[in-house]
Amino acid sequence: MKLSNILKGGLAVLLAASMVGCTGTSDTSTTKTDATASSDGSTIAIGSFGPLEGDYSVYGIAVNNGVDMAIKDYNEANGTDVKFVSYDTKGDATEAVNAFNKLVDEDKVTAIVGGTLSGESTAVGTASQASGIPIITPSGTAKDITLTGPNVFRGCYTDPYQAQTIATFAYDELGATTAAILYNTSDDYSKGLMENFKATFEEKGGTVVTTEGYATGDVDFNTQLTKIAAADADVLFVPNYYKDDALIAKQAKALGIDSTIIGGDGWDGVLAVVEDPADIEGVIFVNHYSPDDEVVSELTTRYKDTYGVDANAFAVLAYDTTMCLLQAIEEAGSTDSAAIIEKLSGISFDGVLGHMEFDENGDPIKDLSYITIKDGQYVTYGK
Amino acid sequence: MSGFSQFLMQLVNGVNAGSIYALIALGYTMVYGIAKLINFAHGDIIMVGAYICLFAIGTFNLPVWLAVIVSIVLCALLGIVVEKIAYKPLRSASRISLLITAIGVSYLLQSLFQLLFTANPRPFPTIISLPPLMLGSISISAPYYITFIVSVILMTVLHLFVQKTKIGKAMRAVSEDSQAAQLMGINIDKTISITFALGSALAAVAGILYCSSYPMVNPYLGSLPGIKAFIAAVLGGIGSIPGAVLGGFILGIIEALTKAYISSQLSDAIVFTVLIIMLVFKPSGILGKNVKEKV
Repeated sequence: MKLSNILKGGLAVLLAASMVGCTGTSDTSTTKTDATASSDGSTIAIGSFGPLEGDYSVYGIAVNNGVDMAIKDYNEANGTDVKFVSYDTKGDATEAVNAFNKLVDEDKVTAIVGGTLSGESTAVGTASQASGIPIITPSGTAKDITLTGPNVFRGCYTDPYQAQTIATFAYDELGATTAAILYNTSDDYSKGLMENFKATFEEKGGTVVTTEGYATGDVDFNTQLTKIAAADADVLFVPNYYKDDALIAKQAKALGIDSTIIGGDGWDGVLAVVEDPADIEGVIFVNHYSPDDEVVSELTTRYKDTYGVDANAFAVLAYDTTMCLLQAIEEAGSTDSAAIIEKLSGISFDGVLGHMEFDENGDPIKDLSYITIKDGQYVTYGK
Repeated sequence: MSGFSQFLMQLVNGVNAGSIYALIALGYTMVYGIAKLINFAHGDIIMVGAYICLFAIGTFNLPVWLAVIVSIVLCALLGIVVEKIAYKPLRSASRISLLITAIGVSYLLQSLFQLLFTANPRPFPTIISLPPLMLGSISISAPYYITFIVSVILMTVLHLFVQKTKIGKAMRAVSEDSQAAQLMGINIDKTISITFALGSALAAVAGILYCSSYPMVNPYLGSLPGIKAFIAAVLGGIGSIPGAVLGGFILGIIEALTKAYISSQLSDAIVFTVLIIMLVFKPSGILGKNVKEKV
């Protein structure tokens, strides 16, 4: 998996380099004409790319719909005519670079919201360095994406940021001084959250009393949980996906563990896979938005009416990220890449997901929502 | 919690996991003993059994006892059908062809169920609602001790069935020498069908009990316990019924104690090392017979 990604990335860079080499001279004239055309008119075009077919299409389609909806809403509210162009990448990094070149060379888009996945976003980030066009990925979580260049931004929080935030929350808000961890040793997401949580929690002055592991596919966690029960920590950090989380929470409850269970956004969807919600009552996890937020639920209802499917976090993130980009374009007052990037870097955006700014890498500084399970429902913690 | 009660608790955890392995290993060993086939699709029959029980209760609102019976009967039929379609035509082929076919059937069942019901996990209803058993300071929840009791009962019944009944005798005869058995007037096809029906019925029971302990159903749920139970069967001596149960419990206990006292990150590596060492020094397993090759 990793090796093929690196190969794809390398191929993408080569491809991009060759494109730059061939079209170097002819390109300058076209971009110039385009720039003049758009400054007197109002032909702002937003491009997007992502997996609209194949294994990851659930995510790609959600992002595509989210961007589409944001642009329609923006046009309706401002009487503008912002265009939207998107291409399918099938989740493949090479296809993504092709799509990117098409968006820049043929469609002459102003800025890009994409890609959906980390691999394709990193490849395009690297390929975009010659043109310097503003790119913002709504959902790519890999750390490297925004390190590809100053024109690349991110709309969602990264895994390390998430884990650090949870650790701070546990120490400061929950008053926890001891923590136990149960994570999946064979999963990068789980492992990454574990490491960052541990580092931050210990930095704050807390103690991680026990760190237990398991392998993908395991369903019996009693042995690890027996050790955790004996350690009697204030919080039990479970940074896994909802399927494992549900089983862990149930078995922890049966063993009489009374540590508060906390987790990351992998817990989202957990209610769909438990028979008795009482088993996960009181669990706290972070997510991109809270379910009882009226602004978000208005958006998700409207999304479902328009596109016929339930909105997931990807759709909402794409919507918010696109709105943020459109605000930056509006503030810049032109379609010039450098001007938009400057405004984006210093933006203070308030969207459906709350307040957002960018740090020096282009990663967001934003609020996370703390969600807890109460009476079989997701509710915002503390409300 | 004191160190000793902690140890007892971990031992109970090991027996819990072990009784599931034992139950699944029974089906493996049974089919291997008679048909000389390592039925890799066995784990997936567990999955099918769990799905049938889930739909019988959830969609058709059958009472639990009836849902369990429906699941057992349908799985037994599935076992017979799989044998007739996939294994019977290859009965005279080499062992490796049969083994590969079994893996094929396993993937077929997984993919079919993924296509029909998607890969999204579904919650399994609570069907055992008995109070937990208290042993001093240790509490054992109902699905676990029920699984333990059921696997011991089934082992005993199965052992008696094979040793005492006429069909059991036929099974042993086919296992020993199928051609000679045929010459003695034993219907091989029927005997093998019954074996598969029994093995698959056991898988259905295992599936239901497995999902009672770990209440989540998805198309891949059978593969990991299937492999672990296969190890248990080999450890105990494949083909031997008490061996399968013993292997299951030993595996469960080794796993639990490794996780508890060595490292929870390394438990699988250690379990598989135990298997390799076992196979090097006693290839026939703990209770397996050393069958001499006839020349």
